[in-house]
Amino acid sequence: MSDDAKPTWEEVARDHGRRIYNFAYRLTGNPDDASDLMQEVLLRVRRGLSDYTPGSFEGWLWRITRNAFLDEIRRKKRRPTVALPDDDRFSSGAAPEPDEVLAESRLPEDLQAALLELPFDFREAVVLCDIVGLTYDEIAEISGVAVGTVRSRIHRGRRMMRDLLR
Amino acid sequence: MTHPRELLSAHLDGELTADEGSRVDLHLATCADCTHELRALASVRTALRSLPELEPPTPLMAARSWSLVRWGGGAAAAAAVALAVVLAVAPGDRPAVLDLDTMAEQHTARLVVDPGISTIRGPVGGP
Repeated sequence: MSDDAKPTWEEVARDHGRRIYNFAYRLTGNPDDASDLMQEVLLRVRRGLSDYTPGSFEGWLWRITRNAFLDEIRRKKRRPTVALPDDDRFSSGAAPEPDEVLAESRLPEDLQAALLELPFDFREAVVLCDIVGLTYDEIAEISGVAVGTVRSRIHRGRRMMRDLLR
Repeated sequence: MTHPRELLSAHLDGELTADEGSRVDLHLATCADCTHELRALASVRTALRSLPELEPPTPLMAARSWSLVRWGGGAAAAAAVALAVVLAVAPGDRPAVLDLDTMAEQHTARLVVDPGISTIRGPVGGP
C-alpha cells in the first residue's frame, strides 16, 4: 500500500492483522494476550482512521500497536517495563566467545523463551526489527528514542539472545 | 580501530552509513574475534527471522465478525469484538466458533433488515 493512500479499516485488519498478532505474541509469549492486543489495536485503528493523514502509515500503525501494548501492561500490571541493567553484563567489554552460537538450530520454543528473558526495551526493539521488519528509523520514531538508542538496543538484545541460547 | 562490536548488528541490518560500514569491513578483515561475534549475531538474527509466522485465532480474522463492526455502531463493534475475543480464548471450545458464526449471521441479517439496530441493548458497553 502506498503511503499516500488512506486504507480502509478492513484493509488494515486483513493486511496487518497477522503481523500485529505476531508482534504481540513474540512480546508476550501468550496467545490470549496476543489476541486481546490485536483486538484492541484494530479497535483503535477503527477509531483513529478518520483522523489519519496519509503519510507514514507503518509508523502510525505501529505507534498505535505499541501504545496499546504498553497500556495493556499498565492495566494488567503483569509485566512492567524492565529497566536497563546497570551492571551492563552484556557490554562489549568482555572477551568474545570463540565458539559461534548456532542459534538457527534452536527450537522456536527456545527462541521464544529467550526473547521473554530480555528487558522490555531490548525485546521490543528486536521484535520490531526481526519479526515485524521495521527499519531503525521507523523503530526510533515509534519508540520515541534516537536511532543510536535503537541500534544499541537491537545489538544488546541479540547479544543477550546469543548468551541465553548458548 | 577499536573493536566495533556495537556496530555489528547494525552492519548486519544494513543500517550503518557507508563510511561506518567500510570501517567495520576493514576491521573484520583482520579481527577473528569480531568475525566470530558477527557470525554469532547473524545466527541469532537468522533464527529470529525464521520463526514461523503464527496465524491469529480464526474468529479474529473472520470477515463476518469484522463486517459486524463496520455495519454496527460502537456498541455493536464492542459486542462483536467481545464475542470474538471470548470465543478466541475459549480453550478447546470448538462448538463455540460455530455459535459465533450463527450469531454473526443472525445479527447481520437483523442489521440488513433493520439498520436502526446499531446499538446492542444489554450489558455491553460501547467505546
